[in-house]
Amino acid sequence: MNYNVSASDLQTRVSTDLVWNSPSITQYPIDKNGKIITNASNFNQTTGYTYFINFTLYRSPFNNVQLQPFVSLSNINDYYVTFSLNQIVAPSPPISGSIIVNFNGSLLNIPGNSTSLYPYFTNPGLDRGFYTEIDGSNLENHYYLIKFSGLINCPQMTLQTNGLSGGVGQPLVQIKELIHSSNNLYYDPIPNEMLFSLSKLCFFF
Amino acid sequence: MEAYKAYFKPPYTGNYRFYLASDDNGELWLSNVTNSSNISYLNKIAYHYSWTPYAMPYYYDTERSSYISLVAGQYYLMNVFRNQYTGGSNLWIGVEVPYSNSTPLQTFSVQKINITYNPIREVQQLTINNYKSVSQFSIVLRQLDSNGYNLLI
Repeated sequence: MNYNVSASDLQTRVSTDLVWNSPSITQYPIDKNGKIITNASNFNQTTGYTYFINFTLYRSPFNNVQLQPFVSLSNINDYYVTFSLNQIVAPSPPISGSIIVNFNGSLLNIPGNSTSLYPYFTNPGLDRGFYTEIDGSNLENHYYLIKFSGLINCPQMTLQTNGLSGGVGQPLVQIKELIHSSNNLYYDPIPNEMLFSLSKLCFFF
Repeated sequence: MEAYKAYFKPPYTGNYRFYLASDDNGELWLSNVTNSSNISYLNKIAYHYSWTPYAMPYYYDTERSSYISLVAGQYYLMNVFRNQYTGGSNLWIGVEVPYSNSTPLQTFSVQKINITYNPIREVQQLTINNYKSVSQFSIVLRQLDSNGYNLLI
């Protein structure tokens, strides 16, 4: 590479090969002493560049990637080349701690980095319960979906205690009921008695 | 794209809700006119634009219809569309039938725990200075993860 590789070129290479969330990179010219040149009239003294790499990927509960690359020179024909790589801002650690959820009078202690909720929903009053968990596309949030069967007028979970930590401020926990239980019948799949093909119904077409 | 067509015949008069889950994206359409094959009466009642795990029609709010008033014994044209791009493949449709005498085992509730995390993002400063010459050179960036990833730039 040349000493003046552009920020966009560097960003493309880094985002393609190192992380899947593209970092934003800003580039500043420097003089022979390594100082950033801010006065446009001195740009003719540029001998190199410094790049600030702002990673958008960070350490989440499900992706504890070590974002600590280092730089070494190879194929050097010119010993005057100098380089450095410094970590200006350290990334957040993964979420730690747990939340306590009140469900039907039972207090469930759920770690914030859980990848399975099965162990926490073993209430004998339930016929079954299952969940899924999703990382948000930007890894800034994740959620669990819990399906409860076997409880008519199923009570809604409530947050008893938020003991999570990590990042700026305290992680936010929200609990929402997406589908309320009812007395209706539920079929999956739809039974044959309710579905008819076109051939069976040609009498009215 | 796959397309399926059938007629739904409600066993009771009342409010029905339909559920759709598919991989990849899908749409569920239902006629608002009985005993007709005319597709111009179809209304899109549930859909999603991305894949959904099997039998989980609550990934997205649009995967379940609003409650629709239907008349017992009538035939309602139903169309289903599904796209398949890569990876897994499935199509799943459910219906909630109004019936007041059902047992608790025939109903369910879906609840969501959402955790939002405001992270501090990492910033690194890379400086390259070639103050005597502009000759070509290479550097290696290495990501210190379990893969020992190397990147030549």
